[in-house]
Amino acid sequence: MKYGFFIGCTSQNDSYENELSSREILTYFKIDYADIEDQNCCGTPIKNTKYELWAFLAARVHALARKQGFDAIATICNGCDLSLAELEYELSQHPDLREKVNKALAKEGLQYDEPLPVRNILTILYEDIGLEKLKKHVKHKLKKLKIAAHYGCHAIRPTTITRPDDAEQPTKMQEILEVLGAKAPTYPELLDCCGANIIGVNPEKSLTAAGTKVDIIKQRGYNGICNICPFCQKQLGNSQEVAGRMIQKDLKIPSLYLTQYIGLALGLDEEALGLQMNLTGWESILGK
Amino acid sequence: MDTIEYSTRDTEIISKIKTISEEAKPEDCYTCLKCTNGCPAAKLFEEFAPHKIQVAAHMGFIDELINSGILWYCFTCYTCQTRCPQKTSPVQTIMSLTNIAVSRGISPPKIYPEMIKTISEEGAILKPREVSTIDFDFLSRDDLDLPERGIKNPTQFKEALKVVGLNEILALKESEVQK
Repeated sequence: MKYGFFIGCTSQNDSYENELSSREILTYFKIDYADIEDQNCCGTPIKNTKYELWAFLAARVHALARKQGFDAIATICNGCDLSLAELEYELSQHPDLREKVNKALAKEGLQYDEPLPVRNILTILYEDIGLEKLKKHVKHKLKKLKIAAHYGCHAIRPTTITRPDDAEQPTKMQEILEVLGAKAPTYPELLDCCGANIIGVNPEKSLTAAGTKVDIIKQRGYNGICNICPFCQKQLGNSQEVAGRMIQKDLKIPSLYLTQYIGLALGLDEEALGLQMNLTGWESILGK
Repeated sequence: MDTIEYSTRDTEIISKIKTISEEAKPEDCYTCLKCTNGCPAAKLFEEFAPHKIQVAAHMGFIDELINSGILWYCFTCYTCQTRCPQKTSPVQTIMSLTNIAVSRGISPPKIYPEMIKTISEEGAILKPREVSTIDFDFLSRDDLDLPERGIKNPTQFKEALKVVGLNEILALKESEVQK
């Protein structure tokens, strides 16, 4: 199966560590992938403003991926993943929208007929690579680490669309972290939203939501946070200092992408994993 | 909201929502409050309550809602939809109503037209930035040997976007700037 790699706005324009570490892990495990050329925003950020615009953007990605000969689309952002996965469900209910989308696509000589399978990085890690294989390649066990998993809303909901993990009791990320040698017990706030969706509308409240989650994670004795979505990682990771100011707490705690935790456990080069861009620090994870 | 002017009632709103989302179903809500109890926005905004939005949409009193700006506080976390015992979806009602508001010429928060403008120019909601490392070096895609990105034929892409309403949104932005 050849994946068309869909990077998404956030990773390709400022969350470079997500793109870097994802590429690094996919390449390490010889997952067959190449970038979808000419790719655009998945549409999610503006869906609540102009529905037709969203549908066109999501359909364009599918149309490009199909035209370029891919068998499936690989995503590294939960927002992109849901957007591309829910498109067909929405279009099947609105034939007029499908028609309009194709009218727009025709301007670029493209056409959307049916979707390609959309697979989140979590699904690829868990199903394509698998726990067994991951375990075999671990060189440095992430011992003494208690990591708080954060799946991100769009990786688990809504239940009407096939999602990478269960809506109320997801486990895949934690199973992977445990294979790396870390502890990743569940916690009551596991499913709490990072608040990213309103960062541009009301940053104070958005970061209050993020800060509250990071604070409780610290209080529960975790010494790391794990994300798979660049929006969540910004909120719970690089924004910690500002989020801390919102709730008057010191929130510093290492926050990394799942692919970065895996890379560290595999002994891959730290800069190749983009760790220099994790402003929360990460050295304590390896006991440095 | 103490009293409601009955003449503002929009009896067509349920069917208008249906053209955007089949799952919203405000008419099926029996106000059990499961949505509001699990809603992260309700914890931070006193006036935000998904069940009330469902009721307002069901009854057809949406003018105040779409003019208040409150609908833009939704986190879009889908918790409400996931937990609704009646299989309604407050989040889809909210998304439909914000779309309806915009189609009526009500400006969304300025971040949205800004993102759409950047999409029309760059294909993405942001332009590539140089980002800081922990040692305060600044790195670009080039520095990191990441492949080039961007839309190959921006003119054609813009033409396609116009078919699905690009200009309506950009016109909204201008009206907001003029204020």
